[in-house]
Amino acid sequence: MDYLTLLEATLPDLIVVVALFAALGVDYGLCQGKSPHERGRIAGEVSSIGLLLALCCLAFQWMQGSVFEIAEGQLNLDATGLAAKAIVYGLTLAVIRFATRHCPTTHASEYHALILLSALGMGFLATTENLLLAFVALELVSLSLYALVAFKTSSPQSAEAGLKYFAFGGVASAFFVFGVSYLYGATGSLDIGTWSDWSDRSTLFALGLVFVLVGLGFKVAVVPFHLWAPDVYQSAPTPVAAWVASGSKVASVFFLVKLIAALPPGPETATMIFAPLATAAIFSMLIGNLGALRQSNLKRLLAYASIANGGYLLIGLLAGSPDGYAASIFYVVVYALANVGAFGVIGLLSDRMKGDGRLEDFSGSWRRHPGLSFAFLLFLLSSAGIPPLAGFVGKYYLFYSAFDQVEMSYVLGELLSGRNGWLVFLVCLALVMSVISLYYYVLALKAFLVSEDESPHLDDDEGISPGIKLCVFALALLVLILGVYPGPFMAFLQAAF
Amino acid sequence: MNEEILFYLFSTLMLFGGSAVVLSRNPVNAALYMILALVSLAVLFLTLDAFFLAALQVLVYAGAVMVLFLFVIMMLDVDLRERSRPNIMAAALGLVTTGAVVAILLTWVGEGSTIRPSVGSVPTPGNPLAFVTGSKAFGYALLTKYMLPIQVAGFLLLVAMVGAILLGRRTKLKSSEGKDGS
Amino acid sequence: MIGLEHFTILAALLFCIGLVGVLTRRNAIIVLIGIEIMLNAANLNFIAFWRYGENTEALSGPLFALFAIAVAAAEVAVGLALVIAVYRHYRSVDVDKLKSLKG
Repeated sequence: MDYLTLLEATLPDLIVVVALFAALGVDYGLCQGKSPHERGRIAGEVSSIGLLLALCCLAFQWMQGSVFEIAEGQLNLDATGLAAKAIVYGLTLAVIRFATRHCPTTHASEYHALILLSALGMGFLATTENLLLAFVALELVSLSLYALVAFKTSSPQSAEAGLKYFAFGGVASAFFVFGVSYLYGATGSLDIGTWSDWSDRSTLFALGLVFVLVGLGFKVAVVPFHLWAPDVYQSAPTPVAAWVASGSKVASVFFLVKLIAALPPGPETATMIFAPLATAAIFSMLIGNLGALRQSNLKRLLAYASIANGGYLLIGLLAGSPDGYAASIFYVVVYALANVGAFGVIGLLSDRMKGDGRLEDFSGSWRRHPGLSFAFLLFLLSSAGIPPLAGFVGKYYLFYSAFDQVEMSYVLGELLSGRNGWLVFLVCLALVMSVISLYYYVLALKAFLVSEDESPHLDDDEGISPGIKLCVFALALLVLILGVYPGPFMAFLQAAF
Repeated sequence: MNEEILFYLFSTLMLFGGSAVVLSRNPVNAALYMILALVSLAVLFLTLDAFFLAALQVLVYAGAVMVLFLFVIMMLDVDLRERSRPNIMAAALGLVTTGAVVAILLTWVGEGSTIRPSVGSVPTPGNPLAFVTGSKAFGYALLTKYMLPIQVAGFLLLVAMVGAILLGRRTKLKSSEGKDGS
Repeated sequence: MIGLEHFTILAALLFCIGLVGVLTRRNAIIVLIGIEIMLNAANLNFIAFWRYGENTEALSGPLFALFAIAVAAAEVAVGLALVIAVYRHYRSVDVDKLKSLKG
């Protein structure tokens, strides 16, 4: 392998690496004796500068039209790959901004460094086609997230959520490795781009694929691998919850789509994974939406909503068409933007006051923070799928791609049999569930916008800096723009498959 | 013939060790049985000509990882006897999974091969990977084709280090509340 | 003659033993050991598939096993640190006692 090519291809990642060591080094070397808040601010600035430089570097590579391919599909950085990386780093930047405001312990620089390390892993996971690198990157993401979730060491809940996340994640990664070993046995290769002659060992291949999907299903939090999500979202530091809900999900979905799109064509492949995935989608939508209805904690509510969103995502994968894959990616990106924003606002309004995210903590926020409350309204309405916001367009693309695959027939029996029946049923269920989800989203918004102020104790002593507000508004604007004008981004994604 | 004896002896030992880990009440015993299972697995690696990995298995797993386990078990000094209330549902679920996987694999047995391609035993300048079972081939592959994964694995170890130090260190409980952010 | 299927069935059994351990045991440390057993089963598969495969020169199977060993070591370090963090708060490593989060 040519080391120079490798250096060139991973230049944005190297910048992030330098930034994370700079954040650690500046903190250890120059900031001893400063207040934890100040140290957190400096570490956040260093990390943000690094991420901005990395994004510039990515933009430069994009404009040059660079295409990097490292041996055996380890990295596949075409325009889509660069965009995937840019999306991950952009989300990281938002999370870092939110994390800068309040660090749960005095270890501010480690907090930011771990976020950057997980971002590195996500960047590799989203752009690789090699199962070995995917595994190592997935573990990099997972391990840093375990540490981040349990970061608030003074809180029992945080440690508990960390251990639960670890137990589920460890089993999921064991399933992933075991599945990869079967895929390796069936195809003799770790490069998913070269899957072709697996047909003489198809049982082994199918079994391996199911195991790998279990491992990834945990990351996307689809039923039945969702049990960790509510506890983690509730107890992790709020920016970390935003990060778990956005970055790790986006990267896993990118890899998942690649995996499914690389499956050798043929009816056998479709039947192999169709029924398990469809069942997972149905139960994710049911359990996610119905679970969210009875939550009184805003973070827990968003956790159940994210499980439901995992279910919607799978519809695009089940459609099995390039449009469907593009729709899944579009949806997860939009969902991640809205969720980072929503968790960001929750964190801004409650973290420093030790609020734990109960709905009534936010009553009357409209009065005190009209701008943030309006942004929160946009994020939640987008997730609920209200036009003209991006969430609506995302759902539209998903459902349309599924209906597109239904072979039209005027005989009802034919229309509702086999794969057709599954798809029709999935879309109908998703539509019903979207209506139900409106109820709990409105419930959350009611606390923000309508309820009278009953909690004077939740008033911040310090104003929110303009930089962070800018970040929230940028996210809100993106959600709005992708809703009003989704064409170019969608066309870009469709061109990738 | 020798090979078969080795295989059956050590696979039995390994399965016995693994089952004993799951069944033993005392965590210290569980960790010791785990070492038995890991060393037997290393012998199985030897029968598969993976000498380097067998050595690593003993050094890293049996040597380092399990010692870490034993260290933590003894440090925490938990009440060693878990009150025995077997979780029937979970056990049943596990056994059903076992049955299903083994059944599926047994249907596939006919497709398996018993032919082992020969591997060259001496590296040549033209083909440095000929001696594929040696550590040299691993080093060669890690620093050429698998340069990127090895770097990412390095960051993984960094995360492990930072995470373990942060989570494992003693914090002043309660007192740090309210101080930060001032 | 020992064939590939001997090793794959052995690996499947080992994986399931680990899974049963994870599902039934309530001591967090033994849950961790169960996860290690599952990872080892995968390693056995990798090496067996490599040895009986056509392309022994490529070495991808043993390399994956090598990475899996490294990753498992890192995972154990973080996992045990989490166990210690939980033990500080609850004075127990029984996963059934971790019930402060509900809903």
